[in-house]
Amino acid sequence: MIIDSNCTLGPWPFRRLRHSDAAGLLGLMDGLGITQAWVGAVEGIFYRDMAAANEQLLERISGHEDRLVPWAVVNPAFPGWEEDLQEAEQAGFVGVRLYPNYHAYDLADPRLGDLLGAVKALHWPVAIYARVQDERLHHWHMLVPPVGFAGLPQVVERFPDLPMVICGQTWQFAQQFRGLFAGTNLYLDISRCEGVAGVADMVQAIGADHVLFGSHAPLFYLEAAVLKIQEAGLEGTAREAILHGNATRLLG
Amino acid sequence: MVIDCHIHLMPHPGETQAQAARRTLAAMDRLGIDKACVSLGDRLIVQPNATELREQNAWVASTVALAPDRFIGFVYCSPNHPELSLELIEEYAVRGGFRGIKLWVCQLADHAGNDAICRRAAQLGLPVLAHTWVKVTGNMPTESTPDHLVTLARRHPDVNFIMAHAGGDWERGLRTVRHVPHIYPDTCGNDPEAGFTELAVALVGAERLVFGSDATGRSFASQLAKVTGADITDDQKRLILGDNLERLMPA
Ligand SMILES: [Zn+2]
Repeated sequence: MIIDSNCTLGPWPFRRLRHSDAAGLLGLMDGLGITQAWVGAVEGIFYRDMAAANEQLLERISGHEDRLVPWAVVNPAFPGWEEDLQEAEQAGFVGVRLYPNYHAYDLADPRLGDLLGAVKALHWPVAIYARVQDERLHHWHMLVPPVGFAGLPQVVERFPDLPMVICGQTWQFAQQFRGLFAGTNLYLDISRCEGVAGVADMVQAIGADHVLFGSHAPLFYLEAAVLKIQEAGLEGTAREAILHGNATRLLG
Repeated sequence: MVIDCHIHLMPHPGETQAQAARRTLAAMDRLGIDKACVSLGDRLIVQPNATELREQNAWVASTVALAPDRFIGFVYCSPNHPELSLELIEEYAVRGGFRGIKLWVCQLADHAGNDAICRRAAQLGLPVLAHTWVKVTGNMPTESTPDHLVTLARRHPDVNFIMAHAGGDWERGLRTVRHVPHIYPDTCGNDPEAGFTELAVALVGAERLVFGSDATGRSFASQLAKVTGADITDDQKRLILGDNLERLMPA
């Protein structure tokens, strides 16, 4: 069993993707033995109206909710996010995705604190996207800097039990913040973990219980995440934890 | 046969060369990568002086010596030191069994200092692996784009060039070299963005795409998946993963 914690659906504005609808993603998943994928709307990165983006996602996964599990994109720096969150809860979403760089706030922003408090009250997990795409390849007139994580220790200190995934970070990041992970519900996905057997280095830094299988498909080749697990030579409980155990626990 | 055209053996802090080589070979084994072409040194030096250029090539030679059936050396040359570069080609390629040349970022690829190096590469039938990137955030002043490589390649029609990173901005890089048949894009050194390999096959053909990873900075897996995970035929994958490179290198 493999749960992919990091997939999106919808047309990427800057490139034609082959597998950006439900049928395409499910086809990729079938080919690689992926049981379930957590999905969010690409539109949530770019729209102002998050309710519309989240609604589009639900339309897209209709009939496939057993395998495509929807996460709502919420923007705490935009008025009315409280209602977006409420609607998302009623509509069957299971967690919240945040894009602080695309939505122009940082981890120290008090509005983020308010949102995380509300997410905690719902007993939901939250995923923070460090990077959607390498900055060097952004559109000429849409240069979005990566998320700064200097404020992460304060966030974790304030919300120690909140299940939180950071998507798109590296094993070097894991080493830098290794002291933060013990006893928390903090996770890193492997979608941008590079280096030779880099996932093994990530596991060594923070423990397998804090690492999630995540591919960033269909923007990335889904197979990259599968091969990274193979490259790391992980076996037994560590491998199972990363492939599905942690994800299952995280969604409660 | 799967051959990676582009790795650098850079140890973790505190790790010996032999340990880094073992860790690298173990990862290659787990992914079925038979051989890897090694270039540069134990660390990245943007402007290597003569001593550093010698040291970096010696590092590659001692890496290859650790596993001569798995590692293939590429001679790191510098257009700032053309005479020394020719000496290094004699020492490491003619007498030492290295099978390619590496150009990195100390000058733009079209620098005149590269001409003597390329003339010798033509005589010996050595492919030239040349760094290219187009960063919307800005290149280093001496960092080549695919356009610089095209200029050099037009001056040396009898040399086969491997365009590292397919230009970084691969949609641009592939278009730039599409009609320059002796430039071979490699697959490595950026995120495994879906569509890369399919576009490369459509624009330059599977016969002109070469698998590389840019390990040890990059993951072998993330770069290999660009090929194995692409919607192309098994024959095309075989060409990209090793057959093309085997054809480009002298025996
Ligand atoms: Zn490189």
